[in-house]
Amino acid sequence: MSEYIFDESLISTEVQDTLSSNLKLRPLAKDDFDKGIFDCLEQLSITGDISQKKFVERFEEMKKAGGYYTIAIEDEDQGKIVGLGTLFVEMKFLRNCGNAGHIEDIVVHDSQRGKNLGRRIIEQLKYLGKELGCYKLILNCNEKNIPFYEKCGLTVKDVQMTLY
Amino acid sequence: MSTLFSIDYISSEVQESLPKGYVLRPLSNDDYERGFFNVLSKRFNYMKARNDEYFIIVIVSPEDCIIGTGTIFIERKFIFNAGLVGHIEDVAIDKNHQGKHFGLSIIQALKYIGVKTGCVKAILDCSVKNIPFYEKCGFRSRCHENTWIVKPI
Repeated sequence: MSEYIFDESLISTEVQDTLSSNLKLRPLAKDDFDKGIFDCLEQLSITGDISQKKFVERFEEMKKAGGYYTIAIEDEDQGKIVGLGTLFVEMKFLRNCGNAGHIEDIVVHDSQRGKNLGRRIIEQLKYLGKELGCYKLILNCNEKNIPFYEKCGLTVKDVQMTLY
Repeated sequence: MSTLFSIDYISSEVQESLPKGYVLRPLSNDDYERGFFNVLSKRFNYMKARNDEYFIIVIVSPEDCIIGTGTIFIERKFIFNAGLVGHIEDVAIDKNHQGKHFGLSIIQALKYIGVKTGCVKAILDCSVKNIPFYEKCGFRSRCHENTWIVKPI
């Protein structure tokens, strides 16, 4: 069994039960390079050309640092990842040394869209946020995705500014 | 005094631009005496153990009081060619020191850290009324995509 980026006990059985029997909701695993993780991520953004070695290196850095809760939905019939999402937990001094949960890199493979998988990913990340004591969850999205995130129970606040 | 991260990450250019007697430096573990309020050593030590991720800076007045602070934390990604993204957070200037470009100095110092650590980009969230300030600092709201922050009710 492959090594996970965080403990499997933090996966919500309630969310897993909403998925069809061939889909497994689990933490990101060290051998996920072989399960098409970059085919999935490429649908989100520029990934570049990452070798398996680089993937494993980054996985190990994230696991060692802690705070990275990346989840995957794997189609076990195909042995392929069809959905991903990350909750990054930022430690603060504000809010009585509170934790802020940053939702990042949400993607569902286009072969699996329209099946509510995005919704399930967000529900799992919300569950994680609660278990890990986050006082808020925040994410940035394009305007066209606002209705989706509103359905997940989030509301619009503030503007993202970027510097490249 | 133990600092959160090495002063190599402090921009000498930004330090030189501050009024005489004001010091730009990393957060240190005895800053609660300087009015940084309830710095718990456990959290400081957690961040210090991860000081390639958490960069908290302060500006200290000649009277040895903290008058400004800002944070950039460095998020590791798989996307952007296994890149790094800098998240700017918790920028605050004491109200008696506002309107004197200390906010700009904090942002410039955080940008310096972002560049030095190799970030692909730096991002921050702000209210609509603060957009002009951040635009002056070189940030852009991504108008063609109209990105927003969402958070639970």
